[in-house]
Amino acid sequence: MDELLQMRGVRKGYGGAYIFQNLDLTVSKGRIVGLIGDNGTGKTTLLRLMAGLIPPDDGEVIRQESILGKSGISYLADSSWFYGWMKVRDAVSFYSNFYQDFDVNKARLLLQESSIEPGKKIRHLSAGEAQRLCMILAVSRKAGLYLMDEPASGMDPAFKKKLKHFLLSCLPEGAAVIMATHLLKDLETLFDDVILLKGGEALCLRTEEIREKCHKSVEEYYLEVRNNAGNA
Amino acid sequence: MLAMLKWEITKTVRRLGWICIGYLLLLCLLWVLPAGAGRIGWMQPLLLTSSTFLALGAFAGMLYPTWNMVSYFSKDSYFMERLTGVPYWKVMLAKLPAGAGELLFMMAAARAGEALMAKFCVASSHGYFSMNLSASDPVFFLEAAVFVPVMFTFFYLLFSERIKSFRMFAAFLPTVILLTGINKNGDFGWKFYTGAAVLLALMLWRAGGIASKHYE
Repeated sequence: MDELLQMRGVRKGYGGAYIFQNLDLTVSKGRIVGLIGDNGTGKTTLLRLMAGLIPPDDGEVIRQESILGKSGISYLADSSWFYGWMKVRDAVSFYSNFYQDFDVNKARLLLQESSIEPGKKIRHLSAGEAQRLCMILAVSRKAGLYLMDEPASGMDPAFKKKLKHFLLSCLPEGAAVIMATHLLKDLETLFDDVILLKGGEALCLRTEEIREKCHKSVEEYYLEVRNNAGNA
Repeated sequence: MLAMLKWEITKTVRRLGWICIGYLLLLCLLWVLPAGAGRIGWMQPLLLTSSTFLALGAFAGMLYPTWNMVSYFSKDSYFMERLTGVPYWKVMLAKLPAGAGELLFMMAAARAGEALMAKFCVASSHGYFSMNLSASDPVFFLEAAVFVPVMFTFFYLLFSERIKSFRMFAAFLPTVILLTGINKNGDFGWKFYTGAAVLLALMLWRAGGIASKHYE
């Protein structure tokens, strides 16, 4: 399988406490991966390490530029990252200037469909609108790897139900996706693989295996693993 | 690099556009007011407010290039720009022209304000606003637009590794010491500028290296 990204012996911690001690992970081309774990297990940290937003304390994160291509990695931004003076059109312009693979027409169409006005200031958008804007910006790029941290956060239940269809229709064929989410029930059928984070370690499993061998849904399996870790 | 330069200029214009327009309107107002306005009692608060605005603007304008450089490392907008993958040293290099453009405008506005305010002064009154710099305008411009932002950012990042809580103050001291040394001993000839360019380029490159390894 084509490997887009490898993490070898990665160690990362904050304030003397380590979230990951010796993390080894591989992300392959074309796989949609669910990143699951309790709050504080390091989902956001892992995604930021993968995106290169933060450096590891030890170990290495190897990105295969030859396979990822010029486009590289598309990271789902947080609306709080935008400057206070920025309007929706400024964010589109920013992405258009910096990312060669950004499809402005696609972004504008998706914004129109979501009824998000280009002239509105980002800080005046509702939480759901802001999150949707960030998602539109991320999926309007033709990247090799998409990293999404709780993409459904702040969204209304109606859109959460459509999220799976939205992602499948917007993401290019063959793109790899790593998505941190708590919405296992709604999204687990989307995932080819899952990464379960617990105790500083990452357990990588194929969802097919969980269903066929364990005869459980991913959510049930995760809860069982979590409860076993809690009892140990 | 060009995209980052365009973005930095856009940011500066969007941040300060209304302040610059306000400045221009103030200068227009001062231009149309007759010289005798200084002798009218109720005009005094307006003239004093104008001189305060000019003074604060000049001071803030002087600090903006440095603030623009260092504020890149604040958490609010850091990740949005980091995601672009542009190397730190290129980002900092792109910030210099944006800061220089802003400073040029503020210095020109301050000098224009100084000239306009002078007409309101009468023999018995104090001057409303004047800008007296420690060096000539071009040297001051170079220091505030290039020297100080690069030096301060370099020390800021250097101390971020060791004394994060006091890095702002810690960066201030060596910057002031270096600048004082330059102003006391610099002959501002071609040798000085060549040496300064090399030193600043090294500081910029090293600052980028520190940021890429340690900053988050």
